[in-house]
Amino acid sequence: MFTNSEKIQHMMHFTKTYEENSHNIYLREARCLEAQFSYLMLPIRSEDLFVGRKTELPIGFWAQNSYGTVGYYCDVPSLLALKEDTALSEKELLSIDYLIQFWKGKTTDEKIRAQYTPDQNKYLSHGDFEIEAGIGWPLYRMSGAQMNPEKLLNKGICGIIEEAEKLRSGNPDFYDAVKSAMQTLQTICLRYRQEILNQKDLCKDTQRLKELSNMADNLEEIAYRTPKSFWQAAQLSYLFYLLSGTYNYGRMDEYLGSYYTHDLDTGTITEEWGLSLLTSLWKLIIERNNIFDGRIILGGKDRKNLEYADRFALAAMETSRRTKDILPQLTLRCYTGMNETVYQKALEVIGEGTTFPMLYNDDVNIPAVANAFNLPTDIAQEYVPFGCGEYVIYNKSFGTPSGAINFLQGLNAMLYDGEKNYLEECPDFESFYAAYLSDMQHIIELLALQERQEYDVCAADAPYLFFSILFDDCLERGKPVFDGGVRYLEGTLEGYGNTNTADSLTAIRKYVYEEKLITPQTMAEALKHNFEGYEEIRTMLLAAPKYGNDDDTADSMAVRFHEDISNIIRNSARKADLHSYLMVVINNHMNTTFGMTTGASADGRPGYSYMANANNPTGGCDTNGITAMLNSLVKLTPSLHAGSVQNMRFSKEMFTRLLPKTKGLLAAYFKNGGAQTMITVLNRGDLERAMEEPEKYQNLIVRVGGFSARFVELSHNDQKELLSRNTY
Amino acid sequence: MDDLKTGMIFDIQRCSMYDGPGIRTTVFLKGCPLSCKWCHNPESQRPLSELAFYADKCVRCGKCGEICPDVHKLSARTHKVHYQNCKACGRCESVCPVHALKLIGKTYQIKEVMDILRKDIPYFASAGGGLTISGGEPFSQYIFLKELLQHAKAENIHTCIETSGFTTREKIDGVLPYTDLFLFDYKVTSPELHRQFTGVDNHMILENFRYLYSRSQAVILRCPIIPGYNDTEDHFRAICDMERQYPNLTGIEIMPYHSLGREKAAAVNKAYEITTPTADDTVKKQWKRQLKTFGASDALLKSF
Repeated sequence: MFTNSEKIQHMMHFTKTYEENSHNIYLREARCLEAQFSYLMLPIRSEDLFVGRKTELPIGFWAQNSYGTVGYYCDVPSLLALKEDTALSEKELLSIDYLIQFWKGKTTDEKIRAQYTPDQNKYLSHGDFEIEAGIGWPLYRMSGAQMNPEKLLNKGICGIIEEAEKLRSGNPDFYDAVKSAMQTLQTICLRYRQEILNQKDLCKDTQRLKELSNMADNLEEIAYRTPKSFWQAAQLSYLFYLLSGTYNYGRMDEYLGSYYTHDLDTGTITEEWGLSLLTSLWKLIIERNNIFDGRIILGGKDRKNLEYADRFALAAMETSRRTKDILPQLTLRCYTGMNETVYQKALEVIGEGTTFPMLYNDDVNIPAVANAFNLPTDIAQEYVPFGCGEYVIYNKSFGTPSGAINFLQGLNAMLYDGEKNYLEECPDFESFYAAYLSDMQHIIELLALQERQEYDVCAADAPYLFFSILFDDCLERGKPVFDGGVRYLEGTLEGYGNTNTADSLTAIRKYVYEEKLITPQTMAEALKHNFEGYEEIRTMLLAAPKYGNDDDTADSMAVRFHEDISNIIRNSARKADLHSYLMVVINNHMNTTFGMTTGASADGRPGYSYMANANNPTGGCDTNGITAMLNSLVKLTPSLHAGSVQNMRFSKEMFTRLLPKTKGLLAAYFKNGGAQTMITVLNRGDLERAMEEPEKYQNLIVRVGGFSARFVELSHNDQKELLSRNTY
Repeated sequence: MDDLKTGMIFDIQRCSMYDGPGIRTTVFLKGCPLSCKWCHNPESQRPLSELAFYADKCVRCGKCGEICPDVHKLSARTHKVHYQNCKACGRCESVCPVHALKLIGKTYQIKEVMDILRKDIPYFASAGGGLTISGGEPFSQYIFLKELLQHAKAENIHTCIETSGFTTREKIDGVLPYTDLFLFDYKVTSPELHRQFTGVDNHMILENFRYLYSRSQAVILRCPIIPGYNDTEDHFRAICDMERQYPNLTGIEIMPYHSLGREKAAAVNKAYEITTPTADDTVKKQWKRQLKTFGASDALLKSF
């Protein structure tokens, strides 16, 4: 792609642009975008039907990037690695030193860290969470932009430029920068068009020639006018998303549905060709390789163009069925009275082991979101999940998860991993529990403050133009997205270890406080020694009631902890001056990552092993059948947080011979208050066999937490965690 | 109705997909007058609580031996269970760290069962399921059976009995008003072989079946097929004849043999002579071919 010399040249160019425009953050971002897109875009390939591929360099500007940083970033380890290239000249080596020196203190990350209070420095964890133990971790990204491209599709690039010109007097710097960003998008369209025309000259294949002609025409059309066809509308929206840096693709059935059905009904495209186009689009999304994001939202009872949208939704699901990949993360919002054909199709696609679409229940989620976010129903109905499953309000709110918290590590710190053993200090369970919550609250409030600081620093650093262009209110208000532009500035905190914590609390209450069978000292010693020499204690702890069995003792503790911790987080919003600050129990595979640094716990879990995923039962502890498990799940109210993931694994039979029963099961779960379900379907024994003979199971797709994966590509620890779960 | 009545139950399975229509909660009553050689629940046959020992799980820690030396004799390599000395007190189960010991059969009151049942009512409603009482032979605890059915019906729960049919007319009459569906076993055609394989005569069983049919009671005939025992031409032909002779049956289902009973029999110290492996697809296909030649309906052929 690039030689190292070219990389250095590009980064020098970017850095120079940054420096020259430092007096004005609007102009600076506009110029930096222009600069980086002059070299980051990748050429089209012989089979592509859409343009829009890009790469990253160790220095640049993105809302979120593969280095785990935000805004202006400079990845020093990558730069140092470059220096090992012996072919580089002395001057180039000096340039690398210069770049490292230049960006010191100027990256957005460093500016955020500079804001931390002494308490944040002391009580939050700042190292590498893959290897270090910690409780509260700040994360750096502006992820989860779920934007509606309808304005762009209706007005076109030129229409938005005109709008910026019309509004210019309100905030000239901002609108000029908006205009410049749109011109950058236009330039990219035209550059790709030229590239296609060049390819056309060399192309011999008549079918491909036709495609290339169409693609070139499409790009010319969308560069200057509004898209007229499905192909053009899909091209323009995708390219915009790509440049904006988001990995989430909005409510696609709504914004593409009418284009798609129009083209089908007028005979402009056939159904097969429509699917070929979507397959090509899916390929670009897959190539971006962000498995924790990549959401495409379908369904929802508030859609305006229901019929068109449903027809598109069917095509999208069919595309995913054929593609059978771990991306995009197709998401279907279901509701009472929805089109039965769409639901039936969803079950069919899930039944083939696609893991998509994930099913969300509007009937439960809309009132839950209204309550959790404190919003009226007509706004709450526009909820959309992004990433692993955090909810935001489509095009109206931003709620990047800027922190992660390991509740179990927090609990262990009170037993044996911290300064003292609180079990000895606290005479009864209530005082112990209160002390634990108080400790957690301290950390949570520091993280809420961190979320605010992250937004503030980002706002002071750049207008995040592509977000500000589409998000409601920003252009109208003349304010960048994070600087008073977006209507609802939200925050989310990823919670981990919820189930193990609740089950540990159940066991502590039972054995230490109620039955007094385990003394505080023995409990601490047993856990500290990872149960070595304390096998009987572990047996007892494992025998304590466990969440996931519709058991009142265990479930009521899970409910209590869920509600208490959700409320503590939710109540931190005001202090951090955010519209909302909510827990997400969404889970990627941090339940395993965090688990590996977390010692033995009072629920009998051995140390340094995975924790249960999200608020699902600990693998293998749900022994009362799936209805019991589902009953336990619905006890944890979704109305206090911003999303959770409910992973379920079914045997193939449940989606073939037993499908009518399974349908009834899911219907009852949704009716009982189930917020959503992410379903993996496989043959019994598949996972075990896949571990033995991975080469035969290359295409076995499983749902891990808020993402799907090829089982054989997962780490051994992740595989073990999946094996522990029940297949119903 | 009396919700304090008690029964001896060895398992309650929620979300059962195979014991009747829809999603069901299956209550397994302990005790059975039959002793089918292929019984898949050998731990269900004796009417009282009993100890099960799963040798493969045992780590020979000796805790059970300390508590109950008369029953558990351990050495470094062996753990011998003297079942005849066991009083089924369950103390050894509670100290076993690896769940190698389990007391099979616990006493439940009707109201305890109803509490469990009620938890899944939304699922019953949504998928057309309900309560299935299985065994053992449910009629061996007739009073409890009837009481449980009455309670379930009082709450509009669909009810189903899975039975060998080995019971009296009076008892059948007793439960009829409260039973929506019978899953009725049809094990062996020949009376002589029936005695040999199940320990009892099939005369009364068939009488009961015909009686239920004559009363227009919903019945699904369930036919366990065990390779080498009842997978005979005669039996297959008889099954197909039944289908023709009793056209108003709710259905006939073939239940291919699986060998899960073997380990369970060993755990409760029962003999289990069948060595045939679980019926695989090849065997099932062969059966389907045979049944087809005798005129089996599509529904029957699709039942397994």
